Amino acid sequence: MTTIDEASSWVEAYTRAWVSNDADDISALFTDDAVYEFRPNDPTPWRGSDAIVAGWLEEQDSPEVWKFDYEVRGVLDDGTAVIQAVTEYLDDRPTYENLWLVRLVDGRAAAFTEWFMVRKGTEK
Amino acid sequence: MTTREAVEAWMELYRAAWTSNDPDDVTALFTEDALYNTRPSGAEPWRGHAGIVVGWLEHSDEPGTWSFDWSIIGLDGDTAFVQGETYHEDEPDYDNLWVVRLADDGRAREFTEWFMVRDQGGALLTVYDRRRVGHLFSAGNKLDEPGD
Repeated sequence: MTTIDEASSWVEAYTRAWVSNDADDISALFTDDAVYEFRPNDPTPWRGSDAIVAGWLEEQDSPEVWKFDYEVRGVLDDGTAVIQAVTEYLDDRPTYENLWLVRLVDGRAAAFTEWFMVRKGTEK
Repeated sequence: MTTREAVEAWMELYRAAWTSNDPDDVTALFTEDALYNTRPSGAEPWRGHAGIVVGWLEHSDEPGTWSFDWSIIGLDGDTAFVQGETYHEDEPDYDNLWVVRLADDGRAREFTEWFMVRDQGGALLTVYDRRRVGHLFSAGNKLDEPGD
């Protein structure tokens, strides 16, 4: 059963990997057969930690351009943590509201789905 | 403590109100001081019965022009997370995620909708555009309001 503390630890580890873009940091976040969806009902998710690491490194953000704040909104019966977040960019991108559904198994994500919406009024 | 049965009952009443656009059906869904957030932030919520009815009727859909499928993805305390798909005749399809806090009497104290236009050009997207924020999605995502 996932706890709020486990969910927070996972998000903290995710943000560390977002900064480091280190393959070991990234793969430690996911189960071997994890599915990473960029949007709900993603037709082409990344499947498996190897593909997630490869994709992540190909599309990494440089550490200094974003700011990320989050809170755990809920922990569901199936081990899914619901994370609400705001991502602000210092470049020309708008601010995004994010909602992550992260199904955790033994502290790793077996499924990750991101919902995102542009915060109104931040279109640049 | 919100139960799955309470959420299912509320969702069916919501669908009925979406169809009827009858103010009494709408107000029955919400507590007197409820907040209705049409998006997670950046927009003023509809406040209380009067505000919600006004907003609802401004954004009403004609019966028969839409369909909606949903399922409860989980509960935590008084909060239900409901994922849906909305199909409109003259609009893109949407994925919806509703965060609904129910009071003990089964009415909603707070409702927040997340929505994303269903990807209709996935084959055209390059890998580069996909991670993090989906730049190509944002054009449609930022312009559309549910029910417009």
